[in-house]
Amino acid sequence: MTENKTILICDDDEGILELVSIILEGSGFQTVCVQNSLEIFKKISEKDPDLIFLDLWMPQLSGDQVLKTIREDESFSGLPVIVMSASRDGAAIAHQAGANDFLAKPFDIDELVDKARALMR
Amino acid sequence: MPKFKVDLSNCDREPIHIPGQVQAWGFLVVINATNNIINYVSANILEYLNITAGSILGQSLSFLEQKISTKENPNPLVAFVESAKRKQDTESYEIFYQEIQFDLLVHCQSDYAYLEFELKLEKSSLDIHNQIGRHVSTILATNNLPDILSRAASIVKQLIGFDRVMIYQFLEDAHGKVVAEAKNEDLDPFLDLHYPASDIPAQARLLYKANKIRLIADVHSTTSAILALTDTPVDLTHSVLRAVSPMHIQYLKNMGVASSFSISLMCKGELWGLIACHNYTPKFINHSTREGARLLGQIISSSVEFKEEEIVNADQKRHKAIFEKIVSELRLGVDIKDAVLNPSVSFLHIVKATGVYMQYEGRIIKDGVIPSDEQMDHIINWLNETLSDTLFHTNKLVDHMPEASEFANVASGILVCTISRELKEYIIWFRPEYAESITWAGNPDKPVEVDESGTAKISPRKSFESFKTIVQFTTERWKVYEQNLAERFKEELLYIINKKASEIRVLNEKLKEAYDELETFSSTISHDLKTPLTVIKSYAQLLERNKSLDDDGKNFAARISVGIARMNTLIAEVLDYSKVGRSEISFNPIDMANMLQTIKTEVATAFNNPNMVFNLGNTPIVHGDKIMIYQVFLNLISNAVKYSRLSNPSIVTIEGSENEYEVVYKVQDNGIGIDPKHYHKVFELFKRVNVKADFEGTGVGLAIVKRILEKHKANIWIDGRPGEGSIFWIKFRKLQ
Repeated sequence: MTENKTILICDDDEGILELVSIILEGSGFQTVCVQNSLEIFKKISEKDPDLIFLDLWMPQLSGDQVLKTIREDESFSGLPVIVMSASRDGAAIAHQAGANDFLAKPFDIDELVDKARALMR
Repeated sequence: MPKFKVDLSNCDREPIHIPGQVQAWGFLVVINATNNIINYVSANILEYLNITAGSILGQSLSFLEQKISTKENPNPLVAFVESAKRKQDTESYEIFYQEIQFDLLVHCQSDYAYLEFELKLEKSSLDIHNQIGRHVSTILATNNLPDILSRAASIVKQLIGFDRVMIYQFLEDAHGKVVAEAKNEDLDPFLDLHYPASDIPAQARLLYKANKIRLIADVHSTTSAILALTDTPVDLTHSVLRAVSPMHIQYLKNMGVASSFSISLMCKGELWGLIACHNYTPKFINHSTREGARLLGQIISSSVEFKEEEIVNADQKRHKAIFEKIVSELRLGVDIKDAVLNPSVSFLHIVKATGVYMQYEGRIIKDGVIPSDEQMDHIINWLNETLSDTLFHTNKLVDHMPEASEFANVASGILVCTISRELKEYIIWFRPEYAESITWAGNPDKPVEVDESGTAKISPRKSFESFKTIVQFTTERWKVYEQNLAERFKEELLYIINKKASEIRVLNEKLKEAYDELETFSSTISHDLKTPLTVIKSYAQLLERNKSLDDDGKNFAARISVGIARMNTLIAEVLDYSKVGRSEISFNPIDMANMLQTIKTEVATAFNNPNMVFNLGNTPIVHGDKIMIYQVFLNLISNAVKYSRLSNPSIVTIEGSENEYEVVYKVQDNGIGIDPKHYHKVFELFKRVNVKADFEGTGVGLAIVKRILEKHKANIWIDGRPGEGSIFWIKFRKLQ
């Protein structure tokens, strides 16, 4: 089933983008990477992902703002989003902004994959 | 006889400058200075010139002049008056009247010219001025004031030949004291006797200022009335012949004095004292001798002024030097306590005082002898309730605060500067009660007599038996320069205190900014460190699973993961530590039983030690920030478990107890323990005491614990022995 799923990853750090992409593709998902958060909405429209991994601290548009915009848009509102962050209060911010789950950096590979699978079941 | 007292100021209102009479040792003629018409004349002109007063009243001065001549000038009187009009002083002339020689004194006052004639009985055989010249050099060569005065008394006695010559000094409340005396051997000494202020009433003191010498030749002789053209009494302020107040005559008679002569001593324009001379038989002093005495008085006056100034200046200089020394230290930034009181200088000596007390910013500094703590409380409360000015001083505190009589021996005089009325902060200098008793020349309370008409009248004292009183509850007055120095001292202190307060405020602001920056920095750095850490961790994990890697390679990758886990913990703890500093604590009651159970579960899961025994005793409530207190106990319990994991079984005991004021918890283990010499180190940041590979740690945990507890105003300390385990004690203060 996983082969058909597309996961969008949005993070300003190129190393993280590459890493998460490798892990998810290794588990059989297709991935789309967005480094500039301002481009995320265009990519969502284009690729129609099944899940988004979203970083919080990003220079152009922060993760919680991106998430709020997604939640306000009727066409995206059902889209599952996992917020990931290295910041201590990340979980609280993510929850408030309407994230489906939260992943603290640094994370465990299995945890990442499990969380992704759980939301696309 | 009705007994009551009248106000002594009655006596003060007797118009003694217009008695309407002259003493009998001369006669007086007063003319209108514009038309030379004789307006007043004393009746005794008859005895001297054989002219009746009535016959010359209203006549021109030239009428009198017909009979008076000098060898040089056939028309002298008009010329004398013209000369006197141009000058302020009395002028004296020798004149003849039918071969009788007179001393004539002429002076002018307002519209009148006064001519006073006295018989020149003998030719002065001594050259008065030479005699005085010799004495002056003796006086000027004398160093101290008491010796000068004592010598002056002898010289005056020698000059006028009276039985007794006293130098009488006016003291603070206008009462007087005999400070020097020269007398015939058979007389009782009056030296050191005090005379009440009412003995020389205020208007008498004014006349002593106007007339520097004054002779009462014979208290028993009758006076001579002054006949006048008008109803206006003649003003005899500057007249040498002016009759004496009957009160004063009675006073002298009561003392047994027949003749009295006084020389005024002036200091800085004020009447400093008198040289009072008594003779017990009538004795006249001729004009030239009186003038000699006047000169002597001026010389003694200037010596007194010079010496008094020298004494005051020396005191003032000493106090000012101390003031300046303290102020310069204060301005250099020396701590107030050290600047105002140290082995070489004390703010006690800024004024003449025996004790000083200062309270500022909750600190008390004192020196010398001051009232007891309880009495100080009384004084300060009294000041706080009654004082409205910033400076207050008294030389008799009991007048303001009756209970001060209890400590008059320490604080009869106080000089107070207010630092802050709101905070009850004052600087107070103290002076004790005068130690000496005063010997009065008679009872100082002037009695009242009632005359035949039933009018109460103050009568001069009849008894001169010495009368001792203790000057109770009184001390020397605070001098103006002392008040000024005290006030300036306070200003300096306030300036320093305010400056320090604003420095602290600025520092505080900077500290807040620094904390803000540190927190931002810590959050940013921890976030930014974690991002590459995430990449490292995941790739290490991927390596571990990589099938193409051999066992060694996988093992290395696993070690990278362990290192990353430690680094992650360290970053989190540093962030925690930086956050504790700034957080405001909200004190809420914490259910410790619940919290400790949660921690136990968490720790048991983390360490997974099946041999662990966990004892939980009483768990009294603690007030504090729940998350922070959780961190404290998590840290301590984790440590207890960690350092006891090699014991079998590993026993961790947590127990609390409380009393009225505090709650004490202990966290005890039976692990490796801590060497007591390291106790102080364990709470320092990045100091790890048990640095063994077996026990992992970051060196931040206990530093956070300590910091959190400091924020809670709680204490932590360690007990136990190496090899037998550790006990961490935590003492929380209860909220009052």
